[in-house]
Amino acid sequence: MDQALKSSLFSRKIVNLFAGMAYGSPDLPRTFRDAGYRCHSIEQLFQVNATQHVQPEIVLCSDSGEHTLLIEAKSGANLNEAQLERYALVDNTALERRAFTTAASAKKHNMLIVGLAQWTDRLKMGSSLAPSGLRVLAVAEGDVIGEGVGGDGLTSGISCIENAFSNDKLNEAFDPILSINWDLVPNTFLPVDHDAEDWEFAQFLFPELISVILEAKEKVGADVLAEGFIRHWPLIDNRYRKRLLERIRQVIQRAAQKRFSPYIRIGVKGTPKNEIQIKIPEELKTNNSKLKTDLQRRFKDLMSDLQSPQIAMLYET
Amino acid sequence: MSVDVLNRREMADKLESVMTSSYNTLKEELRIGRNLSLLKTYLLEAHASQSPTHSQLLSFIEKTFSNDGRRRRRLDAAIQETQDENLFTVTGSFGRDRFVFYIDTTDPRFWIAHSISKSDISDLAIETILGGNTHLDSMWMPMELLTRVLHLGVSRGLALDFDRRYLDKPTTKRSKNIIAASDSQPANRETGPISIGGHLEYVKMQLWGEGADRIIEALRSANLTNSTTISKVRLRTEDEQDQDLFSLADVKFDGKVTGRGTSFGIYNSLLLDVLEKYSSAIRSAEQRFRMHWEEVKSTPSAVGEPCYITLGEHGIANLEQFCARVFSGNEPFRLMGLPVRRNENYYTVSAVDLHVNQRVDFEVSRNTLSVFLPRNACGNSLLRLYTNLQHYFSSDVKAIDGSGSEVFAF
Repeated sequence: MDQALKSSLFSRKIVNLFAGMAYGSPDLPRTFRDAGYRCHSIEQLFQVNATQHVQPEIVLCSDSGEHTLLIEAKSGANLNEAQLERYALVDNTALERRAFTTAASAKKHNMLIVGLAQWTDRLKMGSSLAPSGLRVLAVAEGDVIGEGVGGDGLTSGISCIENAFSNDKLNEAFDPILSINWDLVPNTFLPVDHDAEDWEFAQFLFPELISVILEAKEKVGADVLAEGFIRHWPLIDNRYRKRLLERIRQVIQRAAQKRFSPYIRIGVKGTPKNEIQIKIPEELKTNNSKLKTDLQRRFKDLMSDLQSPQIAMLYET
Repeated sequence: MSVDVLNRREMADKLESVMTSSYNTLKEELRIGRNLSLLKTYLLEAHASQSPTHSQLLSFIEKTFSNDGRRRRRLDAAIQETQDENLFTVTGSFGRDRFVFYIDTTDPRFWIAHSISKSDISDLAIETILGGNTHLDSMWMPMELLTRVLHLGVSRGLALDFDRRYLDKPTTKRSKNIIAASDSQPANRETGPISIGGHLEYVKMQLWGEGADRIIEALRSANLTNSTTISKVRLRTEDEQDQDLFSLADVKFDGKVTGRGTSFGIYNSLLLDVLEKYSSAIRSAEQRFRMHWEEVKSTPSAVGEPCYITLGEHGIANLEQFCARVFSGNEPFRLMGLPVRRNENYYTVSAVDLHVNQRVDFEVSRNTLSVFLPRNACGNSLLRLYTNLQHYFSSDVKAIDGSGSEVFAF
């Protein structure tokens, strides 16, 4: 039986793909950028009525196309009927007044669910439980999370399997498949989520922390570091921020115990929980060159401790 | 040391006399005498606060020129105020060799530092001051700006400087350590040069005279566009009413300008025009490419976009080597990062820009280098990377925005 991809990895890939297309990455199809779409939000929760909310993974809006696209990624075979019903309640008022889109882009909308081609039949079955003409069901084909396989542009991409968009430019682009080279999907728009590996947090977190150390600051909050590399931090609701901060704290704590022990401490008695205390070793204070080299070496060793598969891949025998 | 000029007027008189002497000497003897040196100007970018008071600026300059352990070479310099609140003099020495700079800080971010000291000494002083300095950097002028500068006067020639050897050289153990997490043998390592396709590895050429543009066109039509990076332009600018008033200036990509002629006023106007174009480009880059979310009418809204540097027709053949070199933390890129291989065609790097100690994110495919600047990024990070890619990777690199329009069209 086919194994489902780790949900978080697939979701991030889809969010980064659509953000990358809206931001006009030269390595990706230009359809969305040329049709005037911009990234309205990532992981934004908004109410559809007084008691129900939705949280699309990414929302793209086009004023010129008078269209909003709410996108969800599903790596598994099943769709959540209750969630589909909540999305069916989204209308132009909810978009404009509660998700804060522009009035122009709220005029028409679609919800796009992107699943995996191997689950085509099951996804269609799930969708039939809560039918909606505004829901476009699509599947990703090719080696979505593979290593260096890329795609030939003919069999790799996203194709629609149910319904059509309320924007003809998108229908043309997806007919029969929106070609994607999955190797070239960016990572930075949504760098981590709560399920990301420790090394994925560390990859972004430690350059941010190293820059603070080089500035000779004495302390920094984990939330300040988070906001530096998770650019959509202001959109994230408080509960989810706490989850992410907990992950960040764990990675910093591990580094503070070993590789970065001469430099950082976290959870010091009498200080706020997320405050990182910074101290540059005396012998390095007047030797900036040695300080940089030492920090880079420690970062490299930390990534090794965290078993970054990418780094190991480069140097395995 | 005593201050030999008290204000910008006196400085202008002194520098004009040096310009005129060196022009006459060069015209008559075709070389500069031992006791005479050209006027040199270094265009610098500082990271002072936006509207500093005089004492804040003085303290910033002192900090910038102090020995704080960041430099490899010791520099003894003294900073003196003048009667003019925007003019400072910096005097110092390396052994027996003295240097003097007159620093015009009228724009507190973009400084104009003049010197009439010997070129090798003033160059060494600037190199020492900038090395490891997180407050000050050169102005980095891409080819597009130099070409535009050439049109501010009458072309008298240009120089090409392109050197792929730095990026093509196999990674040393040191740079390997920066990219990798272990000392074991690499697997799947790409071998060979970082790109394929016809290109010259190293080009250094000076073309003086009015036909220089035609030679460049000939080289480009010989399919050598990727290795014809302009590094310096020479132009004559003169007063329309009085053609005896003129300057002959060499403007180099790293912000060094050399001048001679009969009018410091004309030379200074050229410098201000160059600064204006450069500072506009920097400010525009900061406005467009600082990516973050901010509250607009109490709603978070996405601001800014990535800047994409397209890597020419042939792109990068050896991504690992390219990343190891560019993100080694060394000159000229000054970006220190640990590249992570996402797949054989894609690397991501969260690097620290050592000029400003600030994190910048990069994504590298074979054809595109995507730059994600943070909220308070310095536009210098982008110009330095872009300009140096033109000199060390390919003349064909282009910075574009998401709509595909060129970013640096001056």
